[in-house]
Amino acid sequence: MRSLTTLAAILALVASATMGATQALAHGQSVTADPISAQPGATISVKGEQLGGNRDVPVLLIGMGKEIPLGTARTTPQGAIDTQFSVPTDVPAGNYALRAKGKEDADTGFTVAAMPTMGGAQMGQVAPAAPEFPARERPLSEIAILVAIFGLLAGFGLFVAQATRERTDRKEGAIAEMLPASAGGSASAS
Amino acid sequence: MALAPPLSRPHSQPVGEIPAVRRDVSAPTGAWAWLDDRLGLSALRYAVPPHANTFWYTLGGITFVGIAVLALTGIWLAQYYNPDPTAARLSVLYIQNLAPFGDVIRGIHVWTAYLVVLTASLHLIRVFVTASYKMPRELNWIVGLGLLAALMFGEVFSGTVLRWDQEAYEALEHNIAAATLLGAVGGFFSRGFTSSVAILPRLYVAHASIVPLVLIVLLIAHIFLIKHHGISPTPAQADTGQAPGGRLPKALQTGHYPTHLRLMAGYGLVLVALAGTIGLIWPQPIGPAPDPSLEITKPAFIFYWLYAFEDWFGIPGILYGAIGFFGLLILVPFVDFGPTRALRGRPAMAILGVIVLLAILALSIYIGVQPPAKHLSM
Repeated sequence: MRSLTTLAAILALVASATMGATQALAHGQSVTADPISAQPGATISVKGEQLGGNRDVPVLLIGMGKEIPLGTARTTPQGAIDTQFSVPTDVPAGNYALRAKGKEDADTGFTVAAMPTMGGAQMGQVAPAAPEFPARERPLSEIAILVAIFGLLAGFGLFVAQATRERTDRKEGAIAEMLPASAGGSASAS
Repeated sequence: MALAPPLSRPHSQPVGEIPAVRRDVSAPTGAWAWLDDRLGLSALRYAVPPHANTFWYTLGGITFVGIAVLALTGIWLAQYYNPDPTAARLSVLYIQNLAPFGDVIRGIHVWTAYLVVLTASLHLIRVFVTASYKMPRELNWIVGLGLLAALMFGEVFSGTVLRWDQEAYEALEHNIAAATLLGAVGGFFSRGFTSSVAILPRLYVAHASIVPLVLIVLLIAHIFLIKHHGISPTPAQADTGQAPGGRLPKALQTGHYPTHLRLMAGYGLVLVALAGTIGLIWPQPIGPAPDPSLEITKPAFIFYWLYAFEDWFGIPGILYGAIGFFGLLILVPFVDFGPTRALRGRPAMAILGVIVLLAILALSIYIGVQPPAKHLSM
């Protein structure tokens, strides 16, 4: 029981230290963009929470060595924002952090997609969703063959393990008989 | 090509201590001997006791084989995966639906990852039950825990995010929120770490390069320490004084080392076959494109028990759960340092082990039947 008491004391110490540190660091501010990827000129919805009540919060894109302002949003008394912004037309394609500069900053990832070079979407439109691939449909016979191959593989693996153990047991038994007792002959059987 | 006969090699054991017949059992012959003479491969071998050639003492080796399979299948998947956030999910759909044998290789990769966490956990349980973490193997226990943590939180977690569907996006947001609580320590996972590249490609680099490097270093340390200390004695051997200082004498290490390797390879093949079969019958779904306004998914099932803490305590619950679990395990050899190794002689540790195991199982089942909950706004 002494070991349990020691363990409990150490755990209590560690827990109290980590809880204190975490509570000091946790703030809960957050921001999201929808969609998380859009082309220049597209309209995006930005929502945030716990950014400080009744204040103007600048929202900007940070990346590629630049800070690009999207606009300003007014927070509710609870510190929330829910606003739409247009992605500036001169923003280079790439990956950015979208930051809401409230009482404390909140970040989320945002990707500015490249404009299509020919045809496709007009300026200001979100790129049409790329067609998803049709689901691969393996015939039942193909699945059966693959399962059989895996079954053979598993069977071979088990055979290798079992055969190896039986052969070794025989060899170790022979060694044990040949070894003098002082060399551990009586203790070698598994 | 005719092979030159192998040169005779000196044996480290003094002549006369062990009868000559023992050398013949495991001495390399034929092509292997030819290679061994030139590459010194036998330097990697170590003496093993007979009990090492059982399933329970091969679990670490099976995990090692599984990690090798993950590396091989990962190389194949990397030829088709695109870590750009605008293309990542589509490239996973391409792998699953169009790439040659993409569904099979992805199935093996994903399910081997889960099974490797399972075999590593069973290995940990075996070490715990037989008290193999005791002197002089305390630090190797910690290295092993580092390997499990790197597999779970480094590889499996980042692999989940790479799918870049709704579940992946939510997992990443949870991770960023948890990392924020760690301040500078969690800086790597913050979006503010760099603005020149998105976090998804950085996680891909971690998944395919940084964490594997950490795993390799830890594996080398783990295997070196196994070779250095030898395979741990059984509790019966240790408690009857047959293993002074926790080490078995040479005379009791009469096991056949190649058998140890063949068992690893044999059971490793079973692991791969199992992963491939499950992957075919139960393919890992790829969810819809991420919608940041939603929080509607649960993590991979191996993280369910941690998700329960998140349900109760919000995002900090993930940290408390993980730090508490691994912290508890790190302390084990320093709390249970007495000479007794049989579980019956360590009732406090036995009770603690059963409680932790049952708690993980119960929490996993509880979360499995619960609907997803919102945490990010808590």
